Amino acid sequence: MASRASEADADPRQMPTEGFFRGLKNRLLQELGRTLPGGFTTRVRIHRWRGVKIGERVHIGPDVLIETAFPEWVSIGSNVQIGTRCLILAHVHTLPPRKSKLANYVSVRIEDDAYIGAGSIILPNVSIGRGAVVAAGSVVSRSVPPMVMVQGNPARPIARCGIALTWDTALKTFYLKLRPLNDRAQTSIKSHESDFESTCDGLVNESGVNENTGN
Amino acid sequence: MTVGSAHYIRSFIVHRLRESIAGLGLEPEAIDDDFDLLTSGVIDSLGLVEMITAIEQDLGCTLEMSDLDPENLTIIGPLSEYIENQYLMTAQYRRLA
Repeated sequence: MASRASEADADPRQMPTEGFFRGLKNRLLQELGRTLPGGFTTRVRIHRWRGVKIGERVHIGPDVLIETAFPEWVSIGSNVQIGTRCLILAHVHTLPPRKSKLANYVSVRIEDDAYIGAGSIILPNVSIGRGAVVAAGSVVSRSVPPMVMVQGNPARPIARCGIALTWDTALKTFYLKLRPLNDRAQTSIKSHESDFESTCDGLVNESGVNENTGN
Repeated sequence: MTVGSAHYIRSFIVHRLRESIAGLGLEPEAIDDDFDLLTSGVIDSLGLVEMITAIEQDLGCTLEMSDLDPENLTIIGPLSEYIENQYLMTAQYRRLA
């Protein structure tokens, strides 16, 4: 315990300063990214300029707000769809990352083929697994395992996706492969979820506790 | 009405969604076979998978849905007929086994 405490002392948490001009640039680009047309093109390019890591063939809907102050803490894979009016938050000012982990720090990671429904809120320190689906209006406060559909506030696993809901997937084909989870399966998903969280760099603190939820 | 028949499945679905269908100003028993549960707003994605699960529980078998044309997944007539065929196939398989 003592050695862990001294390690923490040597590696304090620190919120980086944003800087006025950098902050101004971020905010102006954020506004452009919210309003300009071009879900596959212009909006994606603008958020890349802000520093968000974004893969290929990503669609960002209108009025999406991606972490204002530290956009570089958000990583979005390829073939991801982000619905209208989503909000992605990547920092909690009362829980900054450790100083040594600031370089390449990622707070919110959205993996390939994920689908984020309209109006969803993604909170800091979560990872959304490959092919996962966040139903519209959900609040994601814990990491979502791959190929699982979550819904609600807080978002809970409700179904397992047989296929990913990408831009090219017909909605009815997706529904056809969707299987609801019973209570037992949800417990299993929860256990898988904790394993999944521990594999995500920068999302879990040294004691294996999710920094956001404390679970 | 025979358990597992298309008519039985259709009644099961209509009974389950009776309030939503009536909310559209329609007579639940009088809807057409080409009535689309999804585009009419009667059911959503989760409701659909829950309904299939409920039918499976009622019939006591697991339905293999992968051969169904996805376009027919939410159309009450073809969906009922597909489930009837699946049920009959399962029953036949059980008899042989």
